[in-house]
Parts: sequence; structure tokens; C-alpha cells
Amino acid sequence: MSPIDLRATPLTWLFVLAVAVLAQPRLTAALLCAAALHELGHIAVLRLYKGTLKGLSFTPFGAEIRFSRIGSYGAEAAVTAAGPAVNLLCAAAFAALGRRWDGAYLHAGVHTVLGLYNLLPVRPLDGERLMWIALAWSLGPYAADRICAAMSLAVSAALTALAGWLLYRFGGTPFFLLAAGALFWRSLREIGLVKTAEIR
Amino acid sequence: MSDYHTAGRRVERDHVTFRQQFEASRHSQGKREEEPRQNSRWMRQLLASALLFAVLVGVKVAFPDVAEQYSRRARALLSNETDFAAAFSAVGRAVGGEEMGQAINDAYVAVFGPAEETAAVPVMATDRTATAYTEENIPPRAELLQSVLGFDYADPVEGTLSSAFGYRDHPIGGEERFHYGLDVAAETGAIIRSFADGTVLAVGESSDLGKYVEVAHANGYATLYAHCSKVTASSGQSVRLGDPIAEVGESGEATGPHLHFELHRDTQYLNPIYYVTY
Repeated sequence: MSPIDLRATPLTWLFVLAVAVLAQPRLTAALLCAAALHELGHIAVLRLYKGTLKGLSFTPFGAEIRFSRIGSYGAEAAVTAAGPAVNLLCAAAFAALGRRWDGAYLHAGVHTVLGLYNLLPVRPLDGERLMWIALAWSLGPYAADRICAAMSLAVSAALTALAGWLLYRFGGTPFFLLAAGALFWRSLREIGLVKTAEIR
Repeated sequence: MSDYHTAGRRVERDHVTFRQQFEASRHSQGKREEEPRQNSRWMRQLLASALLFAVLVGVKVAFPDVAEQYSRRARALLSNETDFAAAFSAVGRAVGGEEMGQAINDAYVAVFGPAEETAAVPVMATDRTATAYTEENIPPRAELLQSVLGFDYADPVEGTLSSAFGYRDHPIGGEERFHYGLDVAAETGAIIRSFADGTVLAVGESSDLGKYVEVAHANGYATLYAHCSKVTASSGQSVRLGDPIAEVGESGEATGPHLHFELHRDTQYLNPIYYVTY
């Protein structure tokens, strides 16, 4: 078996550094733990379908796994859905544990937010992938590519506008605007409106 | 065998011109030779990050004051006082099904800070000295910042705010003293209701507070209701949010019928203004 190809963007290193410096250690730990369980969910189901893990890319949006095609759209959908599913199951488990241990609520919250965030229909998140698979299955991959690119652009633009409005109206952290803006930028790059060096 | 992320784009190539196909194939041929170069780029990025990290740690060790100053500034800029851990915990509590509305409110407070009107109150209380409260000029056991209580609560009585938390000239002695609670003016006999679920900790009477009742809540919080005409709850009794526990009066050192309401966390006095609607 060839070694797993690991890739990371320079922005990722900056992001990890910022989180490590700025966030409370217990929050950093909860985030890393939730992200790791998310990827393990993908990998476990991938193994179930006898797929091969080709690589891991670390981006500021989280880790992305790359794997060889495993045949059916159904199998691919199962692998994709496994990550958010693990997060939502963990959220429920930690929330139930919260009555005994107050710190569990932090983990429940992180898992909930991570799970739901990954279900957004914006490339490169799992939600978009699931939508792509559904569209490719019903309308064909060509239409799926087009619709998903448009959806990514529209949703990330809407999120950016919403985050900007919230920041303007209520103040608070600019973090949401940065996160939504990064997704929007990525969507623009995806359709070729913005050109940057290929990071892969 | 096609790659996960290019699965869709491969199909697109069926629609492109021969020239593009030629270029695409030439590109993919070139990629094979690029593999070691890409690896070394990854190594360089890792090295650069490690170097940056080492420099940061070095600065932190050599000039701790400077590092702390910049770290605090960066933290303030990025989080803008947002307590992300508290926000996530509040989301977690909402998922747990406990206090849905309260959890959403707590998440809001953690992200955006207290609502504008209530945030202005500590400043209003300082109008006589025209200086803002800081850690130095408030009593050590008084806490001005809003905390996330983690339980449901409601106004203890219907009335109007007559005196806020903070320094004021004492209405009877005349000298300036720190006021550790809120005064809510109301008619004698108006029902005082428990601020939240809890257990009645003490019922008593003192020359200063008059007839008072104290209720212990979750997470180390407690509330005190003073100057009552009558306390209807008894010590050790379990109370729910909104249960009647006493009636407004002017017992003790009071110049008129009102409720003196305090919020404690362990041994600290919190400003109750963030949790009431007066």
C-alpha cells in the first residue's frame, strides 16, 4: 500500500497557530477531538466498503479525506455522511452525559456546530458532496457540478452577508465574517473567478 | 481510477475541446514528475511553520511582557470578548434539552456580549464620579461583569428600578457607600417571587435588611430579597421559578416600600441588572 499523501495549505498552519494561541486549551482540545472523530467516521465507513484512503488535506475548513472511488453513489454517500453523523451522535451522547459532568456540554456544543457546519451545501463541505451525489444520481454529474457550484456561491455569499450584517448590527467577534468570507472566496476560486496558485 | 474530488470534473472533460484535452493530458503527465517537488514544498511549509512557532515561543520566553501584550491585543481583536467555550457549552445545553430558551440567550450573550441597554447601566451608576468602574475602585467582592448563569430566571417583583448596583450616597446615612444590589420600588404587599428554581437558604430579620429571605440556586448562585413586610417561604423549602416567597415592605433601613435584591455567586456580589427587565 502506498503511503498516505498528507497535504496542508500555508493558511492552515496559520489557522492552527492562531487557534492554539488564542483559544482556551479545553476548547482547542474539544475542537481537535471532534474533528478527529469526524474524519475517523469517514475512514471507518470507507474501510467498510473496502475503499483505499489516498490522502488527507488539512485546510482551514477542516481536514478533507481523499479516497479512491468505491463504486456506487450510495457507498460514496455513506462515507460522506459518516463524518457529520458521528458528530451528531457524539453531540447527543455528550449532551446526555451533561447531567453528570458539566464539561460535557462543551463537547456536545462543538460536535453539534461541527456536524451542522459540515452539512452546509458549500464546497468543500460534506453537505455539498451529499448534494452533488444526489444530483449526479438523478440528473447526471455534469448538471450536479453546475448546480453545486452555483449553490456553493449563493450560500457562502448569503452567509458572508449575514455575518457582515450581524457584525455591523451587534458587534461581537469578526470570526464568523472571516469564516464565511473564506468559504465565499473558496467558492469564487472554484468557479474560476479568482485565480490563486494551486495548493494541492 | 479517478480521484474523489475530481470525479465530477472528469465528466466535464467530455465536453471540452481537443486542444483543452491535449493540454489537460500534458498537464497530468507533468504531474507525475512534480510529486517529489510537491513533497519538498510540503516539507518547506512545515519547516517555515516550525520556525515561526519557535520564534513565537522564543519571544514569549525572552520578552514575556511584550508577548503577553501582543497576545492580549490579538485575542481582543479576534475574539472581541467572545467567550467561545461558553458559546459552545450553551449550544450543548440546548442540545441536551435543558433550558432551550435560556441556552440560546446564553449563547447570544457569549458571542455578542450583553444587550446594549443593560451594558450601559454600570456607566449610568457612575455619573456622580464621572469615572468608569475598574478592578481597582470597586470592592473586592463586587463583580460588574455579566456571567452565564446556566438556568432560567425571571424578575422577582413588578416595580420600577429606584437604585442601581454600585456606589451611591446612602439614603439614610448620607455617606457614599457601595450598593450591593438593586432596589425595586413597589407597593407594600406586592408579591415577591423566586428569581429561579432553588432552595430557601435562610429566612431572617436584621436591623439593616429588615425581614429577608435568601434562596440558593444551581451553580453556586443565590439571591437575597430584603426589606420585606412578610416572608411567606420557610427555610429549607424547595421553590420553583416564580413561586411567591415574600411580600414587599419597608422593614429595616428603608425610606419607602421596595425590594432590595442581591445576586450572589459563592462569596461574590454580582450586578443583577443583566438578568432583570426593569
